[in-house]
Order: sequence, then structure tokens, then C-alpha cells
Amino acid sequence: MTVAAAGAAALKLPAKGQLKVITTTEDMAALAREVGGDRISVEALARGYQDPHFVEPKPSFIAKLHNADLLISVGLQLEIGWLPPLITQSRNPRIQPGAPGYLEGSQFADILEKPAGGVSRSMGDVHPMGNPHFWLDPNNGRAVAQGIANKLSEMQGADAAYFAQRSKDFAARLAEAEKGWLQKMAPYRGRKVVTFHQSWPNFAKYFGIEVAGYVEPKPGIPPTPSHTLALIGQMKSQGIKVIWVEPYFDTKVPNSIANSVGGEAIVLLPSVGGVPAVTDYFKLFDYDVNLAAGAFQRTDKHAS
Amino acid sequence: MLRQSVVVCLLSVVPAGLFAQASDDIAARFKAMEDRIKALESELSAVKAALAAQPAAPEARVPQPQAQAQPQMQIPIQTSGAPQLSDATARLMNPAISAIGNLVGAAGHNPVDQRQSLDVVESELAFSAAVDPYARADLYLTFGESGVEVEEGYMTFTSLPGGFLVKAGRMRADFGKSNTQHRHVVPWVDRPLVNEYLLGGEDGIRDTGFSISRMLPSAAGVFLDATGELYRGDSSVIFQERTRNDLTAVGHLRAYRDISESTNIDAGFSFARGHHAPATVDGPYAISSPEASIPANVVLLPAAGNFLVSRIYGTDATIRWKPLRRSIYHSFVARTEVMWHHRQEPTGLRKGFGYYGSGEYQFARRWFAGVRIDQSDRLFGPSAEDKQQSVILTYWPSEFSQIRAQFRHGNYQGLGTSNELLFQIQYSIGSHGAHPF
Repeated sequence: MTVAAAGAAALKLPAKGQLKVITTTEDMAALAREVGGDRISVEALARGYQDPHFVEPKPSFIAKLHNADLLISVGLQLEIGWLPPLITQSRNPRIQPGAPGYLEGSQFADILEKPAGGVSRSMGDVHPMGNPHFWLDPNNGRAVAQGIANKLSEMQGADAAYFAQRSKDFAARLAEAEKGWLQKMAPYRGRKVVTFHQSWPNFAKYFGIEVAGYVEPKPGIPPTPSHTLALIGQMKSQGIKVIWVEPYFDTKVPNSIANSVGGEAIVLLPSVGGVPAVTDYFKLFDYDVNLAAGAFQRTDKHAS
Repeated sequence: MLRQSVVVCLLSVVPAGLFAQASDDIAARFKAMEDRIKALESELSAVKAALAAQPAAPEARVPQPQAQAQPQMQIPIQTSGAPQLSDATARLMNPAISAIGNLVGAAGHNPVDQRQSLDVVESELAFSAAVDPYARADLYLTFGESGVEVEEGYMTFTSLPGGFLVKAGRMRADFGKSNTQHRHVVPWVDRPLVNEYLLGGEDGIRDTGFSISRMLPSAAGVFLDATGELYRGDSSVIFQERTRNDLTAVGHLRAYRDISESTNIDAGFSFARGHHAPATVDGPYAISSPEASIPANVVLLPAAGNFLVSRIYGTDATIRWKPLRRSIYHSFVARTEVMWHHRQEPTGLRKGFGYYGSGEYQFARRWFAGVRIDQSDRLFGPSAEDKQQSVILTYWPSEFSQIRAQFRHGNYQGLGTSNELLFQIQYSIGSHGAHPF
């Protein structure tokens, strides 16, 4: 309830004394809202249903960045194709990399899939610094929220106690919600799934799910017939029935794969705002957990 | 081993009669040198041992107030071949580096386009990094098949007060749209006729100077941006300088508005004023020579008095559509640029007018289809008006490579028509650059 109120407050025009926070994605915005409450105004540049790798660097974003006190990005090169020129063009010294008003959420998170050896683009569009979808693990959500709260306190010392209290409150509510999510997913621990893109390592690890394959032959490379056939073979032999697809990918190929293995392809949301009802960090997990658990349940029934 | 081979080499050039005598002499000298090397080696190992023992020495002394700080201030001496920490940290400060290769081919006859059948028109090396907390630098070196040049190299001051952004160095001038774009970013294999004839071709207005820009206050969600630039006065065939006063001035006003989350409109007005030497042209004006900014058949005449003045006016409009939920699969961009070039000639004012209209539709994740119509007056030689129509198909195997084919029909007044196939293969390696917008 308090979260919805905070979200509604953020939509209003920034009041005097509010820090203006711009985030690259709606997930960072959701976490900032949790800890910033009514002492900050928050706006995200990218929408939750768009591919965060391929956001257009629109001049209207420059205008938003120009007035920002704090820019929070995901980091790990997720926004490398569009954010750097926007920051340069912003004419805002406060948010330049290295300035106090520039914050990368990834520095507070536990990062998975950091390439151990050398990386090359022959592996596809790999993220050389590790998988940037870290917010899909509630533990990282908590850590990033804490990091944002610390940054806000540093920038607006008068409200430090307020931010600390909200961060503590968020952590407590998250811990409570986690019990429900883990309970709901508990029957499916150890299950294998296939995902379209490598967006889900944190989510899968948290719930004990194993990602056994990808619809993309390599990150950023669209599905090919030979890879799709091999994937169907793998899913059949390993009894994998569920495919997780991000909302910005075409569902045609995942659906046809699911049909041939008698399974189901579901559009799971990697981000807050992926559908209109998912307005905050809690609702993101509510939505994904319900959908994922439902898909496991239905495909189990079909099998039996 | 080395010494032996040196001896063998030396011996082999000594005349046979002198062989015995010389070999004794040389052998004695080498013996002496060998002894000296041995002596030096033992001296060196003694020095190494002394150095290795040194760090322990300060502790043995009576502690003094500055004793603790001292070891940190010493310059580290590298005693072995192993890389020191400073090497690794030095690499961390390397700029982002990327390289772009661009192979262009052409088939069919064209009376004005002088490009060859196959040409690696450009290999671009790009470096960029923050200089310090106040500025960043971008450097683009382009290597043609026979030369290197600084395509752009400038510093951007990002932390100025008053909302100003200042760039200093060598830059593509902020005139219209395609003049600001590098060759590998434009959605065609070639440049439109209006750029070739009225704006200096591939090089365009590109010069050394300053650029200052600022957002202007505006209402109704419009983004307004004004840019003023001052350059030395050298830009390919269109602007030249004879004295330090022959500067080129460029102005640009850009208005942008989001119509919806997936559609936006972008419009601009541009102006450029500079000086030029009168020119004569031998035969039809040649375009698209990748190796020379001034076509071989254009002869610039050194004027006795002041250089003459050129003014260029331009307007551009772009509509973009990209549905956010399917942004990686479908998009559409339509763009037009219209230009007027007024050039003082000894015989009076010469006016050139030209435009292009272009559309590009992305119909699948990796496929783009485009059309372009363009028309322009020639600015050199007998006055004439040329027209071209193109259809373009582009395939992106990944975000880092691109294969493009362009069928171009041309109608060149007084010179005939042409049907050509242009094609292009591009790649980008190294650090991930920004996507063009």
C-alpha cells in the first residue's frame, strides 16, 4: 500500500527539496522509489517491455538527463549502445561518469556469468563484465536498494534517517514476500527450463531452476533452424517442457518449439512495467512466480 | 651461439692468404671480450643481490619520523622480466578502441561517379575516453587504401556551467544530418547527389575549430537545441582559406518532439558561410573519389585578391517509428534534406539547389529495405541538374557486421543515364560503440 502511494507521489511534479532521479530502466526506478519515498522524484528512460540493450537515444531523454540530480544505470555494459552519448549530450556535470550523481546499480549486486577466460564476439553479443540482469534475484534487489539509499543519504544528508528507515522497511517487506515466492516455487526446484535470451540466470539460481538451453543459438543471434531442431531434441531427451520468453522477443519460434515437445512457452517479465499491472518490484516477482509455477504445474498435468 | 656465428661470418669474408694470421688475432680479441662479459655478468648479479636486500635495510636503521613514508616514495626498480602492477593499471586507463572496415564495390557504368570496381574505402580506428572529470575525447583515424587522416579528433567539455557543451578539434560540422554521419553509418552505400555536389561529398563540411551548443527553453514537449561553430575555413572543395580571416561559420537549430512512445519527429535548419578560391573544372564534375577530397578534375585557382564567399542553407526533417515491444524486429525511418548553395563566382552568383528523400523499413530482425530519390544542380562546370533513384537492401548478420546492396539509376543531364549495382560489406570490432540515431 505504501509502495503504491510512493509510486503515485513520484508521478506528480517534483516538489521543492526533492532529488530528481533518472534511471535507465524501470527496475532501478522501482528500487529507488522504495527507498526514496516522497523525498525524491523518479523517472525511467526505457520502458519495462522494451529490450534494454536496444533503446533509442532520443533527444527527449537528453532533456530529462539535463535536469537530473542523480542518474542510476544498471551497468555491466547493458546500456552501452545508447547511454554514453546521452550523458555526454546532457550538459549536466552532476551525472557524468565519476561525478557524485552517477551510480551503477551493478556495483552492489552479486554478478553471475562473469567470463572466466577471454571473450570474443564469436560467442555472440556477450556481456564481457557478466550478466547484467542481476535485479531478478531479490537478494540483489535488497543490496542495490541499500546502495541507492546510501547514495541518496550522501546527496541529501537531512533525509538520511528517512532513507535508512525506508531501506530497512523495504528489506523486511522483501524478506516476508520472499517466503511466499520460495514456497510457491519449492515444488519445482531442480527443474530445467529453456529461455530465449540469457536474461534469467539470477532468477533461475534463486529459485533453484536450471537453465538448460537458449532459443538463441548465441546471445543476440536470432534462432536458426538447425539450432532449433537440436534444442527440440535436447528438450525431449531431458524432459524439458517450459520456455521462458522475454516480452520483446517474437514468440513464434518458442511457441512452435513448445508445441513439438508438448510444453509451453510463457512470456516472463524481466522488468517492472513489462505489463501495466506490474508497477513495482514486488509485483514483478508476484507476476513471474505465478506464471512460472503455473506453467510447471500445467505441463506436469499434461505429462501425467 | 651468437658469438660463434659472428666469428664464422667474419672468417668467411677474410681473404684466404691472411686466414691463419687473422684468426689468431681475432681469437685473442674474442677471448678478451669474453672475459669482460663474464666480469660484467658477475658485477650485475652482485648489484641484483644488493637491490634485493635493500628493502630490509631501512627497518634496521633507527626509526625516524619519515622512515615509514620513504619506501612508498621510492621509484620501483624492475629487477626481472615479470610485469609489474603498474603495467596492469596502465592498461585500465586505455581508451575504448574499435575498428571498422568498409569494402565497397560497384558494377555498371556511370559518367560522373569515379569509384573503382572494388575499394576498401575506409578503415576507421576509433578511440574514446574521458580525459578528466571535465572532458572526454574522441579520435577517429581513417585509413584509405593509400593514406591516413584524422576524420575527427576533438575534445568535448561536458561539465561547463550554463548548460553549454563545447567541442574543440577537428569535426564534421553540425550541418543537416548526413554531413554529421560517418560513412559507415549512413543507410546507403553512397552519399546522396546533394551532398556530393553542394556539400563537399564524402568529406562534407569537416574542419578544425570550435563548436558550442545549448538547449533552448521550449514548450509543449519540444526539445530545442542550438549549435554555433567556427572553423579555420578548409572543407574539401567548397570552402578554402587564404588568410586567417577566411573562417567558416556554421549554425544549426534542431527541434525534436516525441509524438508517441514509438514515433518521433526531428527537424532542423542549418546555415554555413565560408570562403573559396574560384575553380575551373575539366570535364564533368567527378564525385566519390575515396582518396581525394577535391576531385582530380577540379582545379582551384589561387585568387589575387580576397577569396569569394559561399553560403549554404539547409533544412532537414526525419520521422522515426519504432514500436517499443517489437523494437528489434520492426522500425521505419523517413528522412529528407534540402539544400541551397549560393556561391560567388567572378562572373556572378552561382546558385545550386538539391534534395534527397529516403525511407528505410526494417521488416525482420536482420533485414532492412530502403528507397532514396535524389536530385541536385551541379556547382562546378556547365550548369546542369542530375537525378538518381535507388533501392537498397541491407542484411545484418549481427549487430557488428552488415552486408548491403544498392541498385542505383542515374540521369545525368547531357551525360546520359546509368544503371549500377553498388554493394558494401562492413564490420566493426573492438569496443561496442553507440547505436546511430
